[in-house]
Amino acid sequence: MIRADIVKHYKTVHTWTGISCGLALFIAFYAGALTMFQEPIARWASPPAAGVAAVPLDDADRLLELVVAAHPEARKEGITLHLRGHENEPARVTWEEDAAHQEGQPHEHVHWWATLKPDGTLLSKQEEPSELAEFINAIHMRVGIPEPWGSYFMGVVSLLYGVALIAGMIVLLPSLTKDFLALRVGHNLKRMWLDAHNVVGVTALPFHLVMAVTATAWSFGGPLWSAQESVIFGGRQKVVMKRDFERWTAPNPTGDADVMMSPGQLLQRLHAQVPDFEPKVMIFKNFGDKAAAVRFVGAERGYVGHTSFGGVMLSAVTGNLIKDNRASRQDPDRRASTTIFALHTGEYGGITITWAYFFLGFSGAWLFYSGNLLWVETRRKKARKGREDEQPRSTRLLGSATVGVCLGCVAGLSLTIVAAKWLHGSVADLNAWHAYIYYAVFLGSVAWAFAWGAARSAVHLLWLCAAATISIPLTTVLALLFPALGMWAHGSAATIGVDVVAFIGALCFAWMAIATARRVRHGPADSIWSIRKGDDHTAHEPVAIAAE
Amino acid sequence: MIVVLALTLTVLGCACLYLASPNQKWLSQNLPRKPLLAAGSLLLVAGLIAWIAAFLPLSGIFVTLHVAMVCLFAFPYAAALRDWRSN
Amino acid sequence: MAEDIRPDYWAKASAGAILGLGLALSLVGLYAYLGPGGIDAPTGRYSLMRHLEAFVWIAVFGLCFLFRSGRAAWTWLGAANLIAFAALFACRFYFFA
Repeated sequence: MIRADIVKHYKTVHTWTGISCGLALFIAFYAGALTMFQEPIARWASPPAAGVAAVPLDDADRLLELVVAAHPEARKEGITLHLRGHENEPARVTWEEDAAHQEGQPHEHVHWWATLKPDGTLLSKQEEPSELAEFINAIHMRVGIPEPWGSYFMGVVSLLYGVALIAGMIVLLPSLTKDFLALRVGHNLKRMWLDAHNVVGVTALPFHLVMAVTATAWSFGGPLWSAQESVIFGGRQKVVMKRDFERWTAPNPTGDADVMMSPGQLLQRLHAQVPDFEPKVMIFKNFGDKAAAVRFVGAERGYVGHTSFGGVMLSAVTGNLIKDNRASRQDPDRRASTTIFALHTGEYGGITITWAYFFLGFSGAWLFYSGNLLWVETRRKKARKGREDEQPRSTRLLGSATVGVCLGCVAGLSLTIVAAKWLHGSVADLNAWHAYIYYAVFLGSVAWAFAWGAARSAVHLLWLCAAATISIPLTTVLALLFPALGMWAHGSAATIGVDVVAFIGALCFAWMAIATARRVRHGPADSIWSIRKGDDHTAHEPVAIAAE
Repeated sequence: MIVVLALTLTVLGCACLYLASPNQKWLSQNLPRKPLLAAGSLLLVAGLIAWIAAFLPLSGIFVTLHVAMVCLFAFPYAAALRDWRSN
Repeated sequence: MAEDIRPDYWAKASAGAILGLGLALSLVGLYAYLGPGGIDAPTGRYSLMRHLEAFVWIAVFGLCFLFRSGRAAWTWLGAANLIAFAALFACRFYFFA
């Protein structure tokens, strides 16, 4: 069995690594759970548009020809032809163009869409799509800290998270078999929080290990890449990568025109040559050229693999397969790498895995939240033996930080989702407003928690979370009842699902608010979770300050 | 359809494993362990085969693993929630 | 039984963070040269390597508190780094000479 001194030291390691990165990990896991439904949220937030259905697939070749005639610069970047008819696909074809930009500044893109008018002529418009889903993903990856510091910060956090997992396992090993799956509810609060923490941590350990490794690799992706280049490959990596890049890119245009196959024909050629591939979009490169190619983005049925990269490419002239990067054709290292990638993002196993990861993400957020509570509860016992009823400042501060950061993140994300409908059309740059709203609510909640203390602010902020989250379905209902508001209510299962899940989530927050309010009033008085102690304190405050 | 079957088998298998644990809180009395463990393992293997039939071996294994993880932490919480409400 | 291990948190943690990264880079570098397909293996290896590096780094950092003392951690991990880097640079010299 493991020696007692090792367990003792690892308990210290686990405590301090956990406390130092728990709050950042809460945000990453809560936002990460939401990104499992990135696409439904993007669809929910997208205003009604011409849509894919406005141009049948049989007319799409005509639309493409009109687009390249009117926007020849779109050929090089690639024109995307949407196949699924989701609400966040504004029209049958979309493309990006370079925005006017100043010398030395990074390239910005503007987005265009195009459809056919009833008389068969082209209607094209520059319109920025909702980037709400991308914003939630950015919060997930960098907890809202700007690049590159957000990545470095999350790299350190992910590394410590991995250490905390190993340390936690070592601490638990001696009692693992005895306490496995135990969750003892009762008067021993420390025991209860410990069980609640351990059950989630032990059962979901493989999930957490994958998350820690992948998050460390990605957050430190740039620095690790440079380190590989200078230490391992001595400058060779870049050369090989450049050569290998040809496997992914479209052939260079020849300058000679040729006749394109229609999208319908190309899809048939795809199904004939790659039967198990399920495309989401087709991207036409150099349309009209002899060397024109079409890349199909999507997934191969049944495989563990992410969909944004790779895919297959056909010649748009002959329909022959020219580049094949789908999962089943990858070299073993690439296969292993995509498998690890997909194990983080849950891009396999269909809707079952989406929901499983959603719950696992919440359980992770809960793991870090309960870890902080456990720390507070442990300190409280110690404080009690020393002085009477005096809670150390550290537990009060950590309690406030935990409440403010965690609930601020929840409320901020819910409100910024709601804003997608309310602010649409009334502000110039809605995507910037998503960030303003999130940061305002998040920072406001943190300030509120420190101003009011953990006990009181937890109740206030939980009600705020419930109100913000119930606004998501309420907004949809309002849009349905009062079309004059200028909002929309989509009827697809995915977007109704967003409303239903938000409704259930709001009920959970409300229930937690009621339970917390009860504990604040009737719970043990010598806890940071009680306001009774707070009332007693006012009289002692000068003494306490003098003592410090 | 096969997904529903696979999910049912996996969830039932995890339920058997949870009931086999001496720390289970669903029943006031612990049932005999060995038959439950055997039944749970059989159900999980059947679930795994169904998931593999629905996808491919690698995806099947990962799906079984992740669904099992969700069940194994959800079951103790379900029991705790019931106890906590009745208190 | 051996004597109790000393806490030495900062000394051990710095060894785990710094030498763990070194060990990760050098061991994964050796995989790049000596693994299946060798240095001319397709570039899928480059993305996989970052995950392997993160894995080794976390494992070394997490387990380095098992060393008897901070000094032992620095000595052993330092020696492992020296050997691994020597092997890596030998490979680099051999393959790129």
